[in-house]
Amino acid sequence: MKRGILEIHDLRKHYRLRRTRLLKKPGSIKALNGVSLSISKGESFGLVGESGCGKSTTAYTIVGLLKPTEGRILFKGDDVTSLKRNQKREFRKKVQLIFQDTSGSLNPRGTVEWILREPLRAMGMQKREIKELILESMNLVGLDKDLLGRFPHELSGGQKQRVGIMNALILNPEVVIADEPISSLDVSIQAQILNLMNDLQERLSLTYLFISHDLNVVHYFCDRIAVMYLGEIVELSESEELYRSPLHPYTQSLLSAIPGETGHKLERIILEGDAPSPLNPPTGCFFHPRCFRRMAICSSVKPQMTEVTKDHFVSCHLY
Amino acid sequence: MNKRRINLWIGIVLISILLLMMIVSLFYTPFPVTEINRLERFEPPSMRHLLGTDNFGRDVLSRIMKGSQTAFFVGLVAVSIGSVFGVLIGAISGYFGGIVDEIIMRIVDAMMAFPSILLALMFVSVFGVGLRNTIIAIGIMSIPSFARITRSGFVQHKELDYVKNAKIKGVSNLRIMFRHILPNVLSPIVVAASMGFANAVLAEAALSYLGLGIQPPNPSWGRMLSESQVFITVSPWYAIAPGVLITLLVLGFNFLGDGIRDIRENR
Amino acid sequence: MNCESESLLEIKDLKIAFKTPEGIFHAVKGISLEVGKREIVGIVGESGCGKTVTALSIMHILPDNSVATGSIDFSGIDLLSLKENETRETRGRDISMIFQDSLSSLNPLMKVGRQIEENLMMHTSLDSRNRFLEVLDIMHKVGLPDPEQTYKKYPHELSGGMRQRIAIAIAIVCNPDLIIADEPTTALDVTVQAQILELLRKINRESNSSIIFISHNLGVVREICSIVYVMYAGHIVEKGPVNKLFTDPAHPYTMGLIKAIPKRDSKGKELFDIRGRVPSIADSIPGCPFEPRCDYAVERCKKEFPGFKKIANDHEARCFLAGDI
Repeated sequence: MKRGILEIHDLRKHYRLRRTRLLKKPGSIKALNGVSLSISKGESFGLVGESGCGKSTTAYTIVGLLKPTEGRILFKGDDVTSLKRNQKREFRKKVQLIFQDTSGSLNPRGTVEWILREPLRAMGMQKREIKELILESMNLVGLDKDLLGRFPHELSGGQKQRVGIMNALILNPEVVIADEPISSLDVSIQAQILNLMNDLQERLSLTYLFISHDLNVVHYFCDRIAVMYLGEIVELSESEELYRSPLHPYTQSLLSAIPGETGHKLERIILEGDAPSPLNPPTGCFFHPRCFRRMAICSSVKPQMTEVTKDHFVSCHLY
Repeated sequence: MNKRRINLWIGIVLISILLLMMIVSLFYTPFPVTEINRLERFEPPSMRHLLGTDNFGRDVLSRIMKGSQTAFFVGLVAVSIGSVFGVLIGAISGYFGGIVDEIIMRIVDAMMAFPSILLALMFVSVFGVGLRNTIIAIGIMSIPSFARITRSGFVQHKELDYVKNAKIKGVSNLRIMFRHILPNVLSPIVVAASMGFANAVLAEAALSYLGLGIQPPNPSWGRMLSESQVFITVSPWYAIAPGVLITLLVLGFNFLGDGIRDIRENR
Repeated sequence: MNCESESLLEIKDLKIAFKTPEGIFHAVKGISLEVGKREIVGIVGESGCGKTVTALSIMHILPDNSVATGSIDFSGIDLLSLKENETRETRGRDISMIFQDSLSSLNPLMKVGRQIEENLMMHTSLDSRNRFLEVLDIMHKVGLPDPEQTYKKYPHELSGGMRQRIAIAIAIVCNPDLIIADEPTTALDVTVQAQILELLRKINRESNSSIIFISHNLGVVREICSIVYVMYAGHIVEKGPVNKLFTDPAHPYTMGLIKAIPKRDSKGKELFDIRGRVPSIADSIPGCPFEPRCDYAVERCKKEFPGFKKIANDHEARCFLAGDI
């Protein structure tokens, strides 16, 4: 793999559960089980998976909200898990997060201006500079400066997400992690936000890590896509390639389950049951209990990530 | 007027009247509060003494007015002590959690398990009677409830996205606690402060009634109540006046607290 | 509208208003729709367009501060004129509802099997042995593994997909004529969503229930419905058979919605977006509610809101330009 601006090596996050019985060893939730990926500068990298697959945990771990149990996170080659205080501040400026739930991520008792000022204050910027920068960025995301005095609950969904985006971009980051940035918005507003994010990427030469459960949106927005299942990446490929010829049975079923998509040639695959609990993952390949192409080997041996065609990786015994 | 605001308005009106009385008493009382007049003992209410006189012939109205100063002063200072320390302790405990939280909350539990009036009695008997110690005792008594309320707000809010957002922007913990979270969890604290004010007035009355609070000749409603008790058959009005006033003030703050809560919750 | 099939539910000029301390808000502003027997009818719209309130009014479970006028005719009975106690019989037996959030629509302290059984208890005269068998049967039918074990579980012990299956079991256990499904798959993962849609289709096929399917997701609606109504700001702006509506939409709003979804071939191109924002319930608009966001609006649209214009026999839209764009 070539050097990326953001690299993750074998990231693991396990949550220890409380001891419920005195003599029983407490269990642990394995949210991430060795996730590795490398994002190159300027690209949009998509992370797709269903709820509980660990995509948000990945995001939170990268920005430092969670401590990884194991693994390394490299930003431009430097391990960020072992940064010192003042270096951490620099890193924070460079890697930012856009939240899914905009009404939750903006302080309900702060005006738009106050919300935008906080990160700049924390970085020790002067008052006059701050004001200028805020006005400039309001312009950038297409918001009227009259909105500065409003509280979040006085904004529409689209306006709130624009403020959310601005809030992430105001520190001038290089990498922006977007955690389901459009899934809480109305359909007619989603396209506005996607277009805005595309536009900003071009203007500010941003690198995106785009997290979503919607393969259609990720395919549209991203250059490369990684599919996650139960805390692992099961398939990683260039986005058009993944869409055209998905290899992993899980990816195939995800693609076939997109409702109303007529252009897709895949036969509808209906999986059995739900994703298993990360508290007690299956043996062998995590997907085998639901897989429609499982073989004898799948329940005992864990498949390794292999490069099937150029830049198309999959972890499945079929290949 | 909105139906659900009625509590708030009753509270505001009651407290305003009493507050006005307190302010007036700073400049004017019908008679000097400590003036003893042996010829006018136990007079019933009349045009000259609107609420009658006490066993020393002092004007009850004047003493009630002066007593309101004590009530407000004790309430205000005690609630300030209780809320400042309570919020501080609760915020630290709720925000950081873990072992710090465990230790603080067990201490708070222990304090709450103790009857608060007993705690105050102990404090006053160790450190001596008098206004200052009464206030401190009442203030300390109210710390646990403020700490608990603040903690529960912090525990709930620290998991919310806006706090995560502030963290990844590099905002300091202290600032997140007091500028980001506190304004969002303030309303139950304000309600508690209002109720706490009422409790402080009651506690002061109780301590003074037992003779451990405000010392004579300074007037306090609780003290007046206790002094009048002996003469209740001779002059019942003397006992009624401070009793009614204590009730009105406590009611006023309770209504105010309920009113604030109603408005906050219905937003 | 649909001449071949018999009509089961007919809503005429339904208006729903809410009284609040801030004034009176009109959530639904005079809509008419029809559901035929064995049909799956879709209502599509964004948040605040009035689709959920419409469903609640059919179920007679609107909040107390609301007023509904017009008529809702359900096999000959006007549901709106019924008294509270009279509707209880219809509710759950003839009409039932599935909600978006199965966790909060199920009783957290009652075994899920009991919750299904309760519905049978209210509306049938089966004895407890037969009820139990009936519950196991219905649980099997909605695809719950190991019904006897699942019967004893509490809602929080089940996954989102399983809970939604329970909610569906409750809804269909009395064999209703009409099922109202309000965003039943929105909270679910895509793969589970596909399972639930399949299940609803099977129910419609096998038990002859009509379904009103409410959703904001056009893809899902396209998948399952035969007739679709598009709602915007309390009005129905377009209605038609699902395929016509998607291949040849007549109202600019419907067009915009369809164009705004990323599709297989939209990669690399800018997405079409509907400018502006969804109007809030407090906005009062004299003309066409979509006019401020519409690319085709003319002067006339500001003052007048047109009635339905027929594009085809079964396809109508409330736009002056319908059929001409």
